Amino acid sequence: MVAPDSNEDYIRAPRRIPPFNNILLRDLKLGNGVGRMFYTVHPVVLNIWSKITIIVAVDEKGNVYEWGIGYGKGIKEPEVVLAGKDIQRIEASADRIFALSKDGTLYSLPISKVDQQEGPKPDEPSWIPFVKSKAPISYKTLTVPLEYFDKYLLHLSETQYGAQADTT
Amino acid sequence: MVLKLILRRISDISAGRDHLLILTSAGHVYAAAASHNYPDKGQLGVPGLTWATRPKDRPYDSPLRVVTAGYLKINQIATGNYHSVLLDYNGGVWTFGDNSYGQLGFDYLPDQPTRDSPAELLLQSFYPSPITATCYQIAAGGMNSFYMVDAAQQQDQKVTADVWASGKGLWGELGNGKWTHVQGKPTKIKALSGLVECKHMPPSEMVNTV
Repeated sequence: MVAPDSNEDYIRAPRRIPPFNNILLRDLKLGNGVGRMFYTVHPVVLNIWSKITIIVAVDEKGNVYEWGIGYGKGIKEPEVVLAGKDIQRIEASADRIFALSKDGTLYSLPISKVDQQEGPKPDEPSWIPFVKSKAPISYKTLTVPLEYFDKYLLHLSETQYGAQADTT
Repeated sequence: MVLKLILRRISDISAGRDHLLILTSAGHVYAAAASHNYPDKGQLGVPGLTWATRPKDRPYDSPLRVVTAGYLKINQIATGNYHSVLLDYNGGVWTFGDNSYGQLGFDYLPDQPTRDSPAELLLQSFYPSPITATCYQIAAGGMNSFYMVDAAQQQDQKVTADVWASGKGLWGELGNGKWTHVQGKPTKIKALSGLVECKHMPPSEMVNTV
């Protein structure tokens, strides 16, 4: 459900979502048929599949908001899931959200609230020197080290050609 | 060190249902598994990569380098649910992944429903020889790909912009007025094609010409 405070099945006219009054958005993403796995093993998969929606939004400060059935049932207001990271762009796959920050850091976090709270949480530097605190939600960062993966590419092509040479 | 950091800065991301494409400011593309289903339709663009052959020394969702023939620099990335589209700096389009609806821009082949390495889509072949076709923007969504092409006449340098679409058209997604289930060869979207840029024309004059 796109309007988190509503119980209607269909909303026929655009309307404002009150928590977003006076907030500008940098990016917005809608997902359909995504979210926590256990919905997909429901007996009426096809019926429920199209109703599992999520909406992810980034405000002008770079905080990420999330709501929808794929995030968590019965949540009436958009919730901040990632704060203070200066996020510029967001994307969503079937069960993860990817958030790209202004400095080029790529965060990957689960879509559903349950997974965000139960998954492994990374250490975050705090304002007290030498003291680290746990992040409030489960996420990880993805990096692209160049040399390393070029090596992997080479390795893969070698094994492929090697296998071909063996069979012929 | 700083230069190195700048070179590998992530400038754009695009996610399909099970995969993620990452574009760095150096024009390199990386692909990563992005959900509980390991991408098995070739949408990662790394030849021979499956759950069984994945690199075991790192998490399964680590980004892996995707290269085109000639290691071309990539300008834009786009992803549909199960396929990927790349646009290089020469205006060439590269596609890989699922082709069950023709979303890669060539006809569906029963023995090759997916393709796991980037191959170039020759948009030039849809134009007669005195016209040079350069793609300047790509888009993808669901089971569709869209290619925005600048077609330049070689004699008078007149440039028109065309939009081509391929993939699933059952619900009218192709925008060509037909309900084609599978559309491999891209079709032109008539309403958005043959457009000429007229930025030197004042608005009042534009009203008169229409």
